[in-house]
Amino acid sequence: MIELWNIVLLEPMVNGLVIMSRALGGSFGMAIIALTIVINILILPLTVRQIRSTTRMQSMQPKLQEIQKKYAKDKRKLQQETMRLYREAGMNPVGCAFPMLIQFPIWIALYQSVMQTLATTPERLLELSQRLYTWPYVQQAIPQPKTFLWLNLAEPNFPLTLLIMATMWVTQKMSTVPSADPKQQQTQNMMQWMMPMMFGFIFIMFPSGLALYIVVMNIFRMAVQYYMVRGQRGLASLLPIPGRTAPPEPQGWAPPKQPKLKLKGWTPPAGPVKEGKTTDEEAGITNSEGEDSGYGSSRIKRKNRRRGH
Amino acid sequence: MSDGTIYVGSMKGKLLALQTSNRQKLWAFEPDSGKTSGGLLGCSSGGPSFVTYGSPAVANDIVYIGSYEGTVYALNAQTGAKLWEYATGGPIVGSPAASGNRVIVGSSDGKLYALDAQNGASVWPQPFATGGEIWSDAVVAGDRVYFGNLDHKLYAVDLNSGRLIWEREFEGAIASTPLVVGDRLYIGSFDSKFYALEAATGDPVWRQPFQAENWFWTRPLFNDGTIYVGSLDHNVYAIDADNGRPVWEKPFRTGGEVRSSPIIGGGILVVASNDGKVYGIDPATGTERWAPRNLDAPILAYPWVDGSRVYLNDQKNNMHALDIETGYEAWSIPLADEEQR
Repeated sequence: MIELWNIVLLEPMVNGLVIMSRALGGSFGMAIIALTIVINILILPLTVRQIRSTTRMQSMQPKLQEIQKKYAKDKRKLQQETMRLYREAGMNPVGCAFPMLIQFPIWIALYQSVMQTLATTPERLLELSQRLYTWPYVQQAIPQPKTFLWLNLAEPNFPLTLLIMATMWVTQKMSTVPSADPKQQQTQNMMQWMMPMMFGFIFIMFPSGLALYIVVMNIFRMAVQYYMVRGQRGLASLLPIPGRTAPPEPQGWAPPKQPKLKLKGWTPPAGPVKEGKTTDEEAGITNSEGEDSGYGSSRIKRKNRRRGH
Repeated sequence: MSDGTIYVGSMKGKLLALQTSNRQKLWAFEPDSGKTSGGLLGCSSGGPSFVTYGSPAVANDIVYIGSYEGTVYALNAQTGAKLWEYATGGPIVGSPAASGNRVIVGSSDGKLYALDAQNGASVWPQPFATGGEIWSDAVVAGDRVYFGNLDHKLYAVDLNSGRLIWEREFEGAIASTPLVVGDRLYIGSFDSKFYALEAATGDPVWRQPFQAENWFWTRPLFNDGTIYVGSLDHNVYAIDADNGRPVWEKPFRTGGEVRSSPIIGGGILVVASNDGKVYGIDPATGTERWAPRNLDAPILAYPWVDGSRVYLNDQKNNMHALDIETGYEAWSIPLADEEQR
């Protein structure tokens, strides 16, 4: 199993980093940035899906809370109804976490790659000798420079950890739909701070080469999110503009115009939904099939169009 | 090793002096007892501040050792009392070389230092600066110091003035120890090649270097016209010192990378490997003389021979004594226990 891990993930990553570093003028930091961009382009479809899922999940909160309130004493029914809601919305509740989960092995392999490739101790350098391909282009590039800008990539760096926290906070902020429900808003606020704090706590102990990966990944994600929401809930939303308040009711989610879903106990939220256009459409959020993320609405509209309504 | 005493640096923060006759600890040296590297923001206890990779050098009843935290220590060989210390700008990985009244040591800060053996004062006007980290042992031959560098170069420096005599660039980094025999210098590189050079000029001697399948990163051994050298490709090679051609029909294969240096005693070539085994080899033919002795821990440190025994320190901090004729393990002691005593 370990051998498989080494052959499939670790060795290609180590050698890829060395090759990229040499190609980029002997900068291991630039190699990490290039690798981050390549990996994030490869998993872009998953990232896009996760952003949509997160937004949709948040927009479903009022309905979920309603169900929770209604079936507070019947756990089984609560579970059934919750799952039904997800199913009818075409959502997988763990789908949000999948792109994050798939990156864990990459992070672990990258951590090992950075530690081995930068080889600060003889033991690490010895390990590296067994991971490198025999190509002269790779062999001649050892040792790799440990410094990049003001960083020693093999050691933790406090300012870079702060940068991780800042970029993660912005990413979180961009993907969070403000809620009119104070309780939900409070949870969102807490999560918005907790995630960056948690990452900061973890990455202050890791080599800054790995932290650099996370910072670039966050910036990449910010760019993707900004593109997806086209500025409506993007960077502009981070600015403390006086007089601006949270949208009246869940943005990014709108009730189906035709109540085909027939959700029990469901009443449309009182948000300003324009005729023929959902808030998702306004925000430019669409799902992977090019449909609106306001689950059900466009699908139903399209069905109705096909039926000649 | 000196006069029946082994000086061994442990990975646990101490340098021990052990008598081989009765396995008794003479002394243990630990700089600033209890001091650790601190850990991140003081949140953890950190690691030991005194970790050694190189072998100690012993001369005139003084033991010299460089530590990974970057300090060179001179200790009284009888008592372990510290005589002086000198801080370099980076981790010290190679072994110091003691010659006359000088101690030469390279550091990861890229500088080669020449220190007064008695008081640790810097001898050269300024340390010899290179473009990369120095992990190679420095070797003194005559009035010259030879050492390799991770910047892919081999340097020859004047022992008295610290000035460059010549430098030669290779395709791979050099962490191996140079071997000087007469007017020739032998060195292995991370380009998987082993070179013979003119010690005076650095010009190549062989028509082409000897090629292995992975890096050379050890101290080679010269014996009776043959050079014995291990490689990280798991092999031990016997090379004709004159022409660079292989002496054995095929290289001797071990189960791991050979970082430890080969050593000869009682007509047997002893090689320790990173697979945790010690091999007894016929130096003439490259065939096995006794069944490999499994020590159950990788061996990277250089072994020593004293009389009929070979002494090895493994990566699990155990010291072993093997009978060189048979490979039989005479004794083994955990150094951690010795540190506690």
